[in-house]
Amino acid sequence: MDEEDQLRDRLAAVDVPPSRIEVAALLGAGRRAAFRRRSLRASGGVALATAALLAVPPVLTGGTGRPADRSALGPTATTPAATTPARATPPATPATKAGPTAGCRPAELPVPPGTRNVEPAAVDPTGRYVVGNGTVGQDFRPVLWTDGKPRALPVPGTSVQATAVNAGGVVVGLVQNGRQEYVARYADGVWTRLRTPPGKWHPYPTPKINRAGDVVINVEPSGNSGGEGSIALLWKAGSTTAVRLPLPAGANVHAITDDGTLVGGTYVDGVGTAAYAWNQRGVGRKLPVPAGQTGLAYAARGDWVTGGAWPSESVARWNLRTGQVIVGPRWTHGTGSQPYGPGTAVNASGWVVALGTVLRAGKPVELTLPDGRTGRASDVSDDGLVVGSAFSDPGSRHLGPRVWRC
Amino acid sequence: MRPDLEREYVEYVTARLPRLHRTAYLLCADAFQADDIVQATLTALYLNWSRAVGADNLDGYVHRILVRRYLDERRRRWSRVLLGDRVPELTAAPDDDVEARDELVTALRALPKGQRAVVVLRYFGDLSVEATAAALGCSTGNVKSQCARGLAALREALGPRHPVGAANTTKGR
Repeated sequence: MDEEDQLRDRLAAVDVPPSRIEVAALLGAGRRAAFRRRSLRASGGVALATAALLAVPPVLTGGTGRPADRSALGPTATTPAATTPARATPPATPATKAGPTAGCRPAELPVPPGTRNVEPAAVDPTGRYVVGNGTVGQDFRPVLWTDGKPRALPVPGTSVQATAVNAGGVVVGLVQNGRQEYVARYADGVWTRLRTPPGKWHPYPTPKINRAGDVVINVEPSGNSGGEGSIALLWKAGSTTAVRLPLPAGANVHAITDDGTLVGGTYVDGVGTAAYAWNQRGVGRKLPVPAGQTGLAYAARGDWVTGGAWPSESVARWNLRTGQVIVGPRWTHGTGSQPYGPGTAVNASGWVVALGTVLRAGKPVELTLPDGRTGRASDVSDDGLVVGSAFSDPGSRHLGPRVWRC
Repeated sequence: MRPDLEREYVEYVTARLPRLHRTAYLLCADAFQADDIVQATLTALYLNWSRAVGADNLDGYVHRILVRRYLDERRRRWSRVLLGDRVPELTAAPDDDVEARDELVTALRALPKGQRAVVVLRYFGDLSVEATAAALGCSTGNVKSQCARGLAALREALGPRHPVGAANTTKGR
């Protein structure tokens, strides 16, 4: 038997763990996706949406028979919502500059010569700086736009991925160089490696930075997956030495606000169990979701935190100042409705990016593009600048980076 | 989707699901990620089924989506968090035990991602050099050279001196 045949036989004989996918579930997922696409088209990009504004004072969560929630809310929980009855109308959020049906004006983002497949990843809160990444094979090539002008950033490794930028134009990202993988900060024209504690660590998911320049990420021992043995790290502005954050075991940080609040969630065996906001001493408050749901927080800006609630797959928003919790909205169409999925970015006015859709005051905003194209958002600034990409529809072929002024 | 089209979709997927899952697992060596990739691939296929079913080479088309999804998942590390959270009712399976059983999977994991995709598509997916190049968006020359390098790298894992399972100690667990 020649080598090629031998490889064929061996690949066919690999002991593959069982799949959990069932055809019926696939069909359901396909129908939901088709339904959601139809909904988008039927409404011209602005679907009818409803949101449940949830009142989540301890008195209510305690009443659901989940004492764990009550104790977790504890004295740090905010309670203004205690007197607010649950209602089924979209909540008002501030700074809605345009009517809910007004589309956002698109513009192409130019890319540096020789870069391919460039997708924006993040915008700073002022809208001045945007970071994104092109690809070469399987590797990233970082790009920084300043006032719309692109610049290819240096590549001190096989792959450099820019993941966040602050109002001072300081970029953070992940560098891969052979087997090495580390967090780096780009400022004044150079990338600087941010050192981890002794040992070999794998950083995940991506570093975040606040206005002051403080950087956060989680690391797990190299070779682990699912967050096993993970710790959360903070590099103070300008520092290259990590401080281990005193968060509970299994906690992951996904965002840091300008006042230093850490936002993320607790995980057990790699599975999320609750959304949390902590101060830097590790004192946390659980961000509540309705009984029967599990919340996780992914992004924060100002008073707002966003994330998701499972198993409903809803987008969730928490206001740290008022204690307001909003789970939803859902797409509604005819007699059915579908979730948007978790929020992955939020601005100071509470606009959320949920799996590519921008929700403003609980309503999707239209990312205007010519027919046959669809826009997908990555991030939104405080002044309503949405960054993302255009895709062909159908086909989902990437057509290049875009910004929308909303 | 029209009922007759949907039936065709179900028939196609039912027949291909085990093989697609195996392909995805060989690519990523992670049971959860393999499921995510396959689900994303087949959902995308559902959305484009009416056009896809008329394609000259439907399997090639599906592999192309699958590989794209695989590469996307590898790129977007945060997706692991999101995808993991989507199924909080599932507890993590002890994948490591499964992986440790097969030296070939370990050796595959050590290959560069593009090389691994070439090897899996060529020798498990039985895609031609041309179809592999189309699925990966690269030249046929590139596929050939990656194949040769991949084979060379896997030679040791395939060799008779290293029977299946004999190299577990190299994992350092």
